[in-house]
Amino acid sequence: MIDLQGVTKTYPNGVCALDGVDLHIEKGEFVFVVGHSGAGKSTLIKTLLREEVPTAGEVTVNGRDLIRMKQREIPYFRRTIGVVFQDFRLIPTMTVFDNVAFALQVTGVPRRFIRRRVPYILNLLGLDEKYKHYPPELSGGEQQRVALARALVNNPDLLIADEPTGNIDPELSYEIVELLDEINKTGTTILMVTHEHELVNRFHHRTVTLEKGRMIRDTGGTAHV
Amino acid sequence: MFKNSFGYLVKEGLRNIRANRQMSVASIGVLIACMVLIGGALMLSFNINSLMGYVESFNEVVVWIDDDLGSAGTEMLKQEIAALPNITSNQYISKEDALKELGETLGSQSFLDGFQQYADENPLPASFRLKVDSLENLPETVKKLETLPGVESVESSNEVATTLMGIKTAIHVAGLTIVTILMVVSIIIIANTVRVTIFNRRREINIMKYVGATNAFIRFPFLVEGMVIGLISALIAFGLLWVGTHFLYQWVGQSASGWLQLAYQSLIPFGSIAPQMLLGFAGAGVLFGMVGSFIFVGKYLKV
Repeated sequence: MIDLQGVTKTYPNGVCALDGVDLHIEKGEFVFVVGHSGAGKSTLIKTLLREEVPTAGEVTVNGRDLIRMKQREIPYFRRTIGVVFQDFRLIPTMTVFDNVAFALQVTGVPRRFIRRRVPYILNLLGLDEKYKHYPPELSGGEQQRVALARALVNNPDLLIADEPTGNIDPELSYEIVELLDEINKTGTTILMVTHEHELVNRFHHRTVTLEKGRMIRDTGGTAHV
Repeated sequence: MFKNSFGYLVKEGLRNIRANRQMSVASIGVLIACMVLIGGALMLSFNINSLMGYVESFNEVVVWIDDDLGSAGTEMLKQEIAALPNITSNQYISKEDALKELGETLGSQSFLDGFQQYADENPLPASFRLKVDSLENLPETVKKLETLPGVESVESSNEVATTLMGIKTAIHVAGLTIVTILMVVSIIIIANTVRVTIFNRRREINIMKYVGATNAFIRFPFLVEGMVIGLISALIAFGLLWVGTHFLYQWVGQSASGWLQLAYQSLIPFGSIAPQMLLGFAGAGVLFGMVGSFIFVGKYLKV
């Protein structure tokens, strides 16, 4: 699902964010990526989304070679993965329904399909009452669930979560990770970046630790406890 | 392209105008201001031109004919004048006509009657009244006329012509300069407005990229938005200018000043340039909206 080999990223200003990272994640795994700020977590995510191209190394995600990927292929690649961010990244002027529908609209599927699929996903995430609300009217937990709905609406094989609980009350954080757990059980591969050790300790999943751009620890295949 | 999403993308563009009301209103306001200023400057310069044309139509040249020329000589002179370039009309005023006209001008029948008995000794010379096509050619034409045989003298408002020509050139240059400056300033202001509008929504563009939208998919609603905002601005600016000229013309027409009365005669009716103006506004509005959004959205697509 994800295969990094000797990935190094040095930014033009000289900062070396990733330093020879090797990481292999199988389909169906749930992996935590932890590390202090500045450890290279964000750059790792950006690399996986093909926002940044590493200065050295090989990156394959979902069977696609991100190093040799052409600019115009990027949107089609991104449709095969779902992403949620710490700051939700919902479009504030669109309703909850439209935010989720947008991810389907970009793929050009027929309207009938969108009208069936979006309510289904929203119900699944317990947002059935919130269709017509705008993101700023919702709590952090609700907004993150909308973002999750948008990430999942395309039925991606891989879900990348960049500190999804960072802006959410601790009690609700568990809820979000439990949700991710449920999603993982349906076969979706999940990579979650976090710095909350409580979560890592409570959910026993493979954990990868980054420090100064290097992978210093990988608990390995404890994926299926 | 966009087989299933064309309608959605158009609707998105329209929704965005409403959703970003404040910026939409600001953009429309800026566009209207620019269009009204440029349109007003153009109207003013057209009207001054037309007024100059009206003044120019008084460019009459009178060629006094030598009394001894005789009818054959007069006929020949007429043909020689006709052969000159730049002359638009030529009217022969015989000695009798001249006398009659003088009587009419004086408005005294007894004066005329008094003259009748001396008809053979009419002291007024015969003449040709010519019109020159433009003031520019007046001095040269006068010079040529003076050299023709049988011409006693030539009377024209040569100095007036030179002065008028100078004023005309000055107005042309000033008008062109003002309109050019206004256009440049407008382009800068409009570009800046579009830039700020899109800068405010760079996050939105960014999010769309993460969800897997193609560049064209993101651009399209912005283009629709720019087009509609340009069109709305053009219509409002056009309406404002229409109402504005209406009231201004009315004021000029009712004004007691003789000079303004004269000006009123030569005002260009708004209706005669309305279609071009509307078309120009709409075209410029749509173009600015689309090109502006195309350029500035592009800046945030590199994610």
